[in-house]
Amino acid sequence: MIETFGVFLRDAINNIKRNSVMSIASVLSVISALIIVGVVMAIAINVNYITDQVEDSLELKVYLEDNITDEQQKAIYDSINSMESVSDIKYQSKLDALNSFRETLGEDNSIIISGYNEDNSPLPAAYIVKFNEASEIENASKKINELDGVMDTVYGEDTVKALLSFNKFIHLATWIVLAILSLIAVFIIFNTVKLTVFSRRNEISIMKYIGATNTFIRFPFIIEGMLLGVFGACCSVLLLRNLYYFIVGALAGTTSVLPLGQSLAPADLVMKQISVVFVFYGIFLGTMGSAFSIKKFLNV
Amino acid sequence: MIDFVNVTKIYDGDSEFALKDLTLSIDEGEFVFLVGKSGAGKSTIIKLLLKEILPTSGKILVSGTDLSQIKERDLPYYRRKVGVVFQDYRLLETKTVFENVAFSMEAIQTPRRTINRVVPKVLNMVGLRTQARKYPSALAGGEQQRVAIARSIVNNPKILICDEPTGNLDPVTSAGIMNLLMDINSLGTTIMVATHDMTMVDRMKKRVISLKDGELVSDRVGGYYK
Repeated sequence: MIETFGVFLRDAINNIKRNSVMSIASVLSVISALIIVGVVMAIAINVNYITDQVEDSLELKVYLEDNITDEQQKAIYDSINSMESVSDIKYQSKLDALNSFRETLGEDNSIIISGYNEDNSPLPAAYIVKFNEASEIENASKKINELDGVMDTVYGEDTVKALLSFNKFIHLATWIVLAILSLIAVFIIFNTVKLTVFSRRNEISIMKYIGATNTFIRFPFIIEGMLLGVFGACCSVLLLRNLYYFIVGALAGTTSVLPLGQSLAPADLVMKQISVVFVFYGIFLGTMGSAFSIKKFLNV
Repeated sequence: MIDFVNVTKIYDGDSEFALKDLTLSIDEGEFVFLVGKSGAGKSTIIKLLLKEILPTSGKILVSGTDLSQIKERDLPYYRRKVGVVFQDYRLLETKTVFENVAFSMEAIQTPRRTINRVVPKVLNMVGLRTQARKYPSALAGGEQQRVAIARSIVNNPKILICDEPTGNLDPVTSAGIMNLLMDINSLGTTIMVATHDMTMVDRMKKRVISLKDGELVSDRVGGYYK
């Protein structure tokens, strides 16, 4: 068994060397297909990363009435805390709200609220609630608004809605683009491998006459496809890695890369995801390409 | 050993008979010539014996096994009992003489140690021991055919089918190839040679099966090409 696999592997490597032109063509087709897929993946990973950042920054402010009782406040806290989608609750006293507002205004403008302090702060106390999923905010806001002692609830309604629909669109678009590109990639690789197999149809027919089983004939081609796929995938990862580092490096110097101050996904994160997917994807493309291409030539 | 029982073959899309109601029997260890003009049905018989095609009607038995009963997955095991040599040699140009012959054994998963032991012996038998490391392109036609014969007999087939084995060779080289086939036959292998080579058939004085337009016209032991 091990000896047979050794023969397959040796044959596959020899075949790659002997048919170097076709092997290079196969690797190039794997690289070009995977680079395009990789660019789409990198964009999708970044969009996810950025929307996660935006989602993390989204919060619901639950303003409390000034004359709220301790029991009502506790009931509100318990009610919010019991919600599964809530990830964090912070209490903001009237003074905290005043200080925060003062910070927002800055030293020059804070003079307009200089007469206010803890006792006469015009700003209401509030709970600042964070959620795991942006999609949960709207429902939670409605429920909390009905509780006794709640003056009002506020969240970036437009931002949340835009983010949700954008996220949905990007996910859908990514899958569609990846599916189309995958089909194109399989088609390109299938045709290239078919040419390789065609150039060796004589060899295959001899094997058939000699009495080699279909499995024996097929395996070196499949291993060859697999090796070319992995090699193509590794080359694509290296190229994409350099390209991504170049883009991240070029954007690092600029101050406002993105409108809301988010950053691009770190190269390590992107490349880790892409590398794993690519190696499997390369194996899949190479193997499938070989397996389907050789099928026709086995009927001797 | 080989029995054709009322075998008829009409190729798809063709109205002519490639073989018409052919019945013949070849015993184990026989040396048989299959003669006839192009289109007489020689190649059809070879293809049928290799189960490359199926007869339209009739039965083909090899060692008592009805070929139509051999399942697709068992076909390779049947073909290991039948060696085949082609007019155009069909050697792998990217492999050396040794590798071409070893390829036959690798294809049926023979251990490397056995390959290294058997291949030199077979190359010695066909007179190519010193050429083992050469590539087919560096050999003369007769030598290439010897490699093809070595490849086809290295797994000890019961039957050796040769399709115009001397078709591309000069008379002296052809005689050498025929002597080699006789040697192989003397070891017990049944040999069937399809040929146009009238002189050679006359010289060998073996059983000659003549075909014309898919029909058997004569079958004589020690007969001559007519």
